[in-house]
Amino acid sequence: MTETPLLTIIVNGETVSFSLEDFPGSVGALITVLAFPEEHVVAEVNGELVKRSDIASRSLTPGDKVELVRFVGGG
Amino acid sequence: MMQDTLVIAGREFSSRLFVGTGKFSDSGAMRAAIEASGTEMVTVALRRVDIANPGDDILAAIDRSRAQLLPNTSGARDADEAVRIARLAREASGVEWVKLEIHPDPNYLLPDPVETFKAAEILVKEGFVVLPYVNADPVLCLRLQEIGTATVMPLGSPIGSNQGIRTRANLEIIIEQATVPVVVDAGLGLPSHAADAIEMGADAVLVNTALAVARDPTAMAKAFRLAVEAAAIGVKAGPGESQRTAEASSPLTGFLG
Repeated sequence: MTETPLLTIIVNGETVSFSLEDFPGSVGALITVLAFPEEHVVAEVNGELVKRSDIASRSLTPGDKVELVRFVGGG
Repeated sequence: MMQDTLVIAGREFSSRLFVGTGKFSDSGAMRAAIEASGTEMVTVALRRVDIANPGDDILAAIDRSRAQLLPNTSGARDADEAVRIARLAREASGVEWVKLEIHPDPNYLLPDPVETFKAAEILVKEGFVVLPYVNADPVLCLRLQEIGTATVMPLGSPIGSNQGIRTRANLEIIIEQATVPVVVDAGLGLPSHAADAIEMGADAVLVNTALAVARDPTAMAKAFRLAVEAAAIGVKAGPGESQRTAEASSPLTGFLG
């Protein structure tokens, strides 16, 4: 039995591993996989802002660094 | 000096009390305090989503038809980080308003004037409505209003310290020189502190900790609302001059013989 190679993405500083079949192909897919509420989440990939309208289409490749941020209470 | 109506970047505010949303025990307490405060300007912060526990969406608890959302750049240690956070916040919220705050010092959270000015220049050019949180520095406030910030927001005392106004002499100069609204932000712990700021001629105040840590945040929010309203009415009513000696309020004629 061959071991499936794991592909990783760095999400908010944490390494998240996926099998080849489960690898999320886009930021939108990643948000779905992580079960984040998509509304008002905004993303950067490798330091570059992803427009909300592009979240579904912005593709991901293994090794990408993704920041997912949202509003919290603050003064 | 305080104008009859508070207008920031073309938006009219009937409430002079701005409210922050940090440190509340839960979103229900925050929502009730916002409601009781009567505020029309509410600040929020931007943070990484916790992968293990995404939590609730705070925007669901804020009535944006009533209050202007004001994302802050807290967490930024320099101008580059602040600009990056502001752009993310604009994308997340759809609004171009930003409370610019850069305070790398962890003990007193005092704002960095050099980085704040640099970030303000960039953000104003990019079309943001910039409300910069600054120390009570009259020269810095002049420089910021010259480059087009929508307000200046000098501190009364360090963030969350509840010390009230400890920067009085400089705040008086800032208010005297301002051509944009002056919002006293940070350190106001009591309703009387907020009233004090408005009576000095500030256009508005921003409070967060004073409400969030009160035993009854809703009641405290109401107290701040009433204090700010009372002070603003008093200022418009034209108070008498302060003087050293007494002046009788009862007639000095017609005494009994």
